[in-house]
Amino acid sequence: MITASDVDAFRAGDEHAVRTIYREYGRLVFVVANRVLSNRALAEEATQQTFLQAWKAAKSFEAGRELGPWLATIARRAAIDVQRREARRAHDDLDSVKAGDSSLSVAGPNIDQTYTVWQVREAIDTLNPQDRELVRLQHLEGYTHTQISEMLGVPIGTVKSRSFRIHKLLAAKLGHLREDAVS
Amino acid sequence: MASDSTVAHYLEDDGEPIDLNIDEREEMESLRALLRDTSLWQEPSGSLEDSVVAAIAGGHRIDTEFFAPPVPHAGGAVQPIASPSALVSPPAPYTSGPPTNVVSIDSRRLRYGARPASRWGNFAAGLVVAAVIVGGVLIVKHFPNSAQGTTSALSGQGTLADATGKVTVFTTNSGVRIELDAIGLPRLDHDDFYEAWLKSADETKLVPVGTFHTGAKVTLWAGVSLGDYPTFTVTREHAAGPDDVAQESSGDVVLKADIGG
Repeated sequence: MITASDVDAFRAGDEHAVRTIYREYGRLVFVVANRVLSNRALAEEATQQTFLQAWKAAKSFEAGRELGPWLATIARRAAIDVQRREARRAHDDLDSVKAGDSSLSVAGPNIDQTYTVWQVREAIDTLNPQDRELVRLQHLEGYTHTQISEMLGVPIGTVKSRSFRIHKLLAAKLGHLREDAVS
Repeated sequence: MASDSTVAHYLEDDGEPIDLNIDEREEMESLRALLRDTSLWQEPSGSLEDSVVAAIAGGHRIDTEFFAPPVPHAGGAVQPIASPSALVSPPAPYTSGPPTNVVSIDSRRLRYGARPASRWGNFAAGLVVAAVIVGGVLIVKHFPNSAQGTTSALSGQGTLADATGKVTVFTTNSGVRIELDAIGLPRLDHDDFYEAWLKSADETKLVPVGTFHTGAKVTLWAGVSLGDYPTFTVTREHAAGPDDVAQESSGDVVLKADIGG
């Protein structure tokens, strides 16, 4: 839990405070940057820029505000800056570039999309490692329950019941995103 | 690996469907759409934390040191014989009295009026003293601030407009030593790097002064005069292939400072 004194120490460049805040938000900032850039190295660069810019702007950060949304906004801007720079540097013939190449897109996700990915990742991070892996195998990798059962060495019934429980949990945490989208 | 499937499909795995009402199905579909985003699942490398800490530490150091007077460089190539303020002009020959602004010679030997001494010996001694002092003035005038350095602020350019820092120049016998201390330059590796340049006053000529990975504590050297090349720039570069054997500047300027004085 980040305290007001952590933020003050972060402003002062205290190494311990910087590490504390990075450990709390670093992965989330990276996810936002990666959402824009789809490139790990560039996302890391944007993550570093985000924390540097946050430190420089920390004096103007109001005590009591949530640090997360503020960092997500900075991360999105930093990632778009990196994306634009890379787009300018690209010299390949357009026909040789794949359709999904990040250098082709300069618009970037909007603010809502940025914070959505932040919140989804935050929700995933609340799961224990086994549950997180199950969700990843099921949704990112697309494995069936049977395949997951074999991979994890867990009975199929256990996989199904765990899967259902996890999804209900995540749906409860992220239900507001669906409501926001509808409204 | 299963192909892209609906909630209905994975819930009905092995023919054992799980009963969900319509709202629950829509809820699961929405969740599934969110969880399929690839960018959610990658992790940053373990070294990123240290990079962030180092970047902020560098920025904090520059902020606290930026406006402090530069510390005289004890190991400088040129040391003034006497402080510049004392050496306004060379002293008159010995006949008008003992030199008044000598700091390194025993003054007792110069009290010509106090005891009889060889006139030619004293004249020669005076010439030596004068030569040393004049030499000191010449050195200080032609290599001003060589021990202390002159500091200029860096301004970020282009896509690194938030980059900042300082550049300090020391004029030496070997050339101009440039100490760069910048923050906000992401590290570049492999075939990507930063390069520093001095630009001529008429902006028609560029002299390369060094390449580096990051902007913190970089020492560069120039063999040209700052009076002729008063602008310092840093560009982002990519190692040239056969199309650019001269490795010319990319033009992608990320830092700039006026250092001509």
